Amino acid sequence: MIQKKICILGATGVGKTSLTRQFVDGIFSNKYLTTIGVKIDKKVIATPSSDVQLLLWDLEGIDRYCGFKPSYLRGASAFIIVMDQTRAQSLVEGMEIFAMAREYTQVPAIMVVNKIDLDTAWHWEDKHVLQQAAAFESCFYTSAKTGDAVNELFQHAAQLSTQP
Amino acid sequence: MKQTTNTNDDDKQLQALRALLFGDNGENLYQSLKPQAKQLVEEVISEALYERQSKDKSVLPVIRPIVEKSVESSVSEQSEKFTVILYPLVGSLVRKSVAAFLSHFIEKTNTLLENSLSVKGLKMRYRAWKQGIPFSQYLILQAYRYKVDTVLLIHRKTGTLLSCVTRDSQTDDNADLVSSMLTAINDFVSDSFADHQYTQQLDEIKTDDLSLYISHGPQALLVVASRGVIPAKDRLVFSKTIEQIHNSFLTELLTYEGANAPFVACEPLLQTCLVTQKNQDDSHKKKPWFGYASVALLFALLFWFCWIKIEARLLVTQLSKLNEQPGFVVTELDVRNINTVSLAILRDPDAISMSKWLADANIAPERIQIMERPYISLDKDIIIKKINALTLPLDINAKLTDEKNGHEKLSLIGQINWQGYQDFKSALNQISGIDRFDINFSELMIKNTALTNETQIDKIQTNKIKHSILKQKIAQLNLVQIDFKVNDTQLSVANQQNLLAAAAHIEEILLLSAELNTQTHIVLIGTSDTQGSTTKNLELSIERAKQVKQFLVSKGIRSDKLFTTGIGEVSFESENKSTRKVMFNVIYTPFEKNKAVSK
Repeated sequence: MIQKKICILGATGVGKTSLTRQFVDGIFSNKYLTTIGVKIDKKVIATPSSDVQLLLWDLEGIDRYCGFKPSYLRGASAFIIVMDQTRAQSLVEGMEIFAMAREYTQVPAIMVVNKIDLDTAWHWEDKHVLQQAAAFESCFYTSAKTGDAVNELFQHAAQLSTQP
Repeated sequence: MKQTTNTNDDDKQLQALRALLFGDNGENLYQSLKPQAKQLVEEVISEALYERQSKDKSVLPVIRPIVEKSVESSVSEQSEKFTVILYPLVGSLVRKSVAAFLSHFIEKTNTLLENSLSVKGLKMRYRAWKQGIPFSQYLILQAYRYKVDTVLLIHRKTGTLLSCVTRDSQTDDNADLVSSMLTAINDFVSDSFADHQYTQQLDEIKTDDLSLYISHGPQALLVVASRGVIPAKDRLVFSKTIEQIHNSFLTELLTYEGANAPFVACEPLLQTCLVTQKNQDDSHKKKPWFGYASVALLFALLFWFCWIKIEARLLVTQLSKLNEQPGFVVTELDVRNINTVSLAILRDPDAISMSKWLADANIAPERIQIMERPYISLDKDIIIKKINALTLPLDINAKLTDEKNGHEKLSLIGQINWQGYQDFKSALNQISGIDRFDINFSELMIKNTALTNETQIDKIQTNKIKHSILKQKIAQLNLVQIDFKVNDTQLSVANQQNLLAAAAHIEEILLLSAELNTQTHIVLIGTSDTQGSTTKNLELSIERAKQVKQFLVSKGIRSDKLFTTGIGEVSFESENKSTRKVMFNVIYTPFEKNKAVSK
């Protein structure tokens, strides 16, 4: 078994912790608790090559008040940028975070559009979103509440992290 | 073509030569070496096995099954022999093991009992409870100054756990999360407090009981979790270990891609970091003399305070005896200001003085606040003291002679003149509580006072007055009649009251007579009614008169001044029933005649 560090980034309140919790514990809560600093979880999943223990670094939401701390990305095998489809601004902020992270690391990145159980409230057209997603290794539409595509997301992350 | 033919010939010739020298298939060589084969192998076998094992570790797997089979076979075939050989060895081992177990058990039980039943033990239990750990674990912690439980080797770049060793060889499920979190905290500290020149890194993290020591290497961190604080000099081993790991595993660290297998080999190095340091024996500790002195002082103060309180209580007990002292009444007795006693008393002026009483009781007056108020005591001793104060100057002897029905009889014996007698009697009557005594004046002789010429006229005037009073008293006595029941001579209670009044009159009559120098006698005349025989009635009348005389004598009237007689039946036509009496008649020599005689 090998260990891989995966960082989860995004604007405040996009559902980073909920995604992690849904994946690790299979639980979702509507109660919002902001993450301070970083919260680390782990889960072992099987990949075609071997079992991988994912160490998930759930970083606190990045906004104008809480700056981006690139040192947390050090040693990560992949990172995930989470966006909230009910807030147009989260896509813009997500792309800014992605740009900042890219200055620091070139490991695979995954774009996640979360909260698909809710109505879409942003004015972005699908083609525009896909244009943004092109900069990433892949893009997932997930719901931390219903669990849609959550396991697939992390399974994919594990595979990306183990690629030579 | 020709050259090829030559080569084949050479080979054939060489083979022929070999066959000639060594025989077919080296048979001659084998036969010639065979006698020395044992010697040849003997010389190289040890080195050969060592070098092969060192080279590819292939010797041990080959030899192990052979040895195991051999031992198994030997034991099964010669079990008796093995039993004989191993018996003393195993017996000794078992005895040693049992002795060690018992010794450990007794020591542990003693420690447990000592720690459970002593104040120290209770304190330790409280601290264990406060720290939320079992008591047994707390005891172990107390036994060690420090004790490393866990050592983590963390990949610096990724924060993942490379290797972990624990004291009890148990795996820690959260070690990888702890590793990542420590890395994150270290990154946070580094980002938050970094200056331009130096990178800030965490070296130590401490909680109530746990200390984490972090040794930083270029590629990995060594984290040591210890109960108790490890001195800096003892932490050098951690620095040396991380250096050694970097020397031995640098390639693996640089090429780390998440696989931990290569780092299993560094566990022996990590084991060297599981260091402990036992607490030194308590006897080497510095004695807390200051603490002992404080406790001793505290006990001394406590003892002094208790002593003072006890002494004050004893003083109160002593002073409470004042209530038994005649002429004293204690109204308040209490301890104030630790050792001062407040005492409020009522004291008769004729009682012993307070200072004298304290001196007699051997009590120091300094510790007593006395508030004294006067009162008149009715105690017998005080009354007697007051009577003595009157009688002693007059040379009168007061004698307590009898006691009946709670009344005591006080006889006054001596001589006194008339005026002194009057003053004495007046003073005596002023004594409170004097009525508890029946006072007998009969033995008190009233002396005639020689009158001077200057007082002769006054004496005549006085005699006239006294004579007049005498007549009044005689008239009053004549009015007294003592009634009796039919055929009865006993004095009723009412009669006794009347006779007391009569006795007072008689006493005054006799005194006045003595003053006037007259002869006075009282005739007691008994009578009866007409019921019954005349003879019997006469006896009744005489007996009634005698009963009255006896009572009067008992009240201090001189017997020779009383004359009894009975006149028997007294009968009137109109009244016959109320003639059962004793009447008084006074016979005295008149003043004028006496005066004439004196002339």
